[in-house]
Amino acid sequence: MLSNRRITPSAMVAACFFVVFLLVQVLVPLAQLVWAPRPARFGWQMYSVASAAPSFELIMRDGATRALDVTPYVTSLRGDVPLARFLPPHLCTLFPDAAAIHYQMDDGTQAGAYQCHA
Amino acid sequence: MPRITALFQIVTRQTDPRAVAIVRVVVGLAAIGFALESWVNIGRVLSPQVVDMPYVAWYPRLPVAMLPLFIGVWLCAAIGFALGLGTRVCGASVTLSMAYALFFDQQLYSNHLYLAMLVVLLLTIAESGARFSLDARRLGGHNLILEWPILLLKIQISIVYFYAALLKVNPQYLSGAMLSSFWPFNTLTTLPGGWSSAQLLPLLAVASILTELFLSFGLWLPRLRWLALLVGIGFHLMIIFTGGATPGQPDIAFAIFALVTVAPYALFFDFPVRRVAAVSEYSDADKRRRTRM
Repeated sequence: MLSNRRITPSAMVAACFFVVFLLVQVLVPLAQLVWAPRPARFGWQMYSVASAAPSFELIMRDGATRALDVTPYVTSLRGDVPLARFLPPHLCTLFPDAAAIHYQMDDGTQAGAYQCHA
Repeated sequence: MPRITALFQIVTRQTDPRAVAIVRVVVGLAAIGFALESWVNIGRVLSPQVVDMPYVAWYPRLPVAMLPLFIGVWLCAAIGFALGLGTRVCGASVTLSMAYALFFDQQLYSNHLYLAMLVVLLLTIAESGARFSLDARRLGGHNLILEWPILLLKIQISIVYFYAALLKVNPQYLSGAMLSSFWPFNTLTTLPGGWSSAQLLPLLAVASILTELFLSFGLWLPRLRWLALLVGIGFHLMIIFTGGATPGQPDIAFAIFALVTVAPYALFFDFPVRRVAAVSEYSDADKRRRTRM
C-alpha cells in the first residue's frame, strides 16, 4: 500500500503526464480510424490505403483549358494534404493568365472551381 | 482508489538505465538523419514556387536564410543527445525541432517524424543520459532511473504496430494493391516458381498484417520476445531493401525510421545483473533521488 506521504508533487505530475499521454496515443489514432477519411494524420496509417492527389486544370482567360502537373508546386501528394483548399489560390498567383482553377478528386467524388481574382 | 495507488506505484518505480541509454544513442543518430531530411523538406516548402499550407495562420514561419541555422542547432542537439552531453537540454532541443518541423506545414506531416518526436521526448524525460554518456562520465551516472517514461515508450511502439496492422485490414490493402509498389512486384509480373504477383500479393498482405500484430504483442511476452526481435529486425530490413526507389538498395528514410522503431526493443529485455551487491548499486545521487520520490 502506497502511503499518502509518498505522493509527492513530482509523482503527481508524472501520473498526470502518464495518463494523458496514454489516452492521447490510444484515442487519437482510434478517432482517426473511426471518423476521419483515410489516410489521416496522427493515426499510424502507414501504407494502408492508396492515396492520389486531385487533378488540376487551368481555365485561361481566353477560355482555353490546360491540364496541370502540380508536382513542382507541392511537396506531398498524400491524400490527407488539403490540396484542393490551398493550391488553387497559389496557382492563380503563379499563372496570372488563368481565370479559374478547376479540380477533380482522384476518386471522382468531388470537383470544384476556384475563380482567380484579377 | 486501488487504481490510483497502482498508478502511483507505476510512476515511482525505478529501473536499470542501461537499456534506455543504448536506445538514446541509436535514436540520437537517427535524429541526425531526420534533421537532414527536414532540411530538404522545409527548404522545398520555403521555395516561392511551392504552396504554403500552414495548420494555423499564426504559426511562426522560418525565413529561408535562417533554415541552415535551425538545422545546425538541430544537428548539434542530436549529436549531443547521442553522446549524452547535456542530455536533457539536447533532448528537449531535438524534440522541439522535430515538433516545429512536423507542424511547419501540412505537407510535411510524416508518421516517421511524429514517432521520432515522441520517442525523443520520452527518452529525454526518462533520464536516458544516466549511463553510457558524457554526462555520466562528468557528473557520475545513476544506477536507477524512473521506469514510467520507459514503460510509455514500450507501449508507444506497440501502439504504432497495432494501429498500423489494424488500418491495413481493408479491401484495398488485402488485395495486395499497396504492396505492388514494393520490389520485386513493381518490376516483375511473373515470379520464380511460377507464382504471379496477383497470387502472391494478397498472401503477403495478410502476412504483413499478422507480422505487425505479432510485434505489437510479442515483445511483451517473455517466451516470444527473442522471436519478436528477429521478426522485427527482418521485417524492417525487408522494408528498407524493397520499399525504396531503387530495388535492392537500402532506402535511407526507411532505415532512419527503423532505427527509431527497433531500438526501443532493447527496453523489453533485461540486462544482466551486475556482480556487485545490490545495496552498493545505488550511488549517492540515487539515494537522494529515492528519498525525494
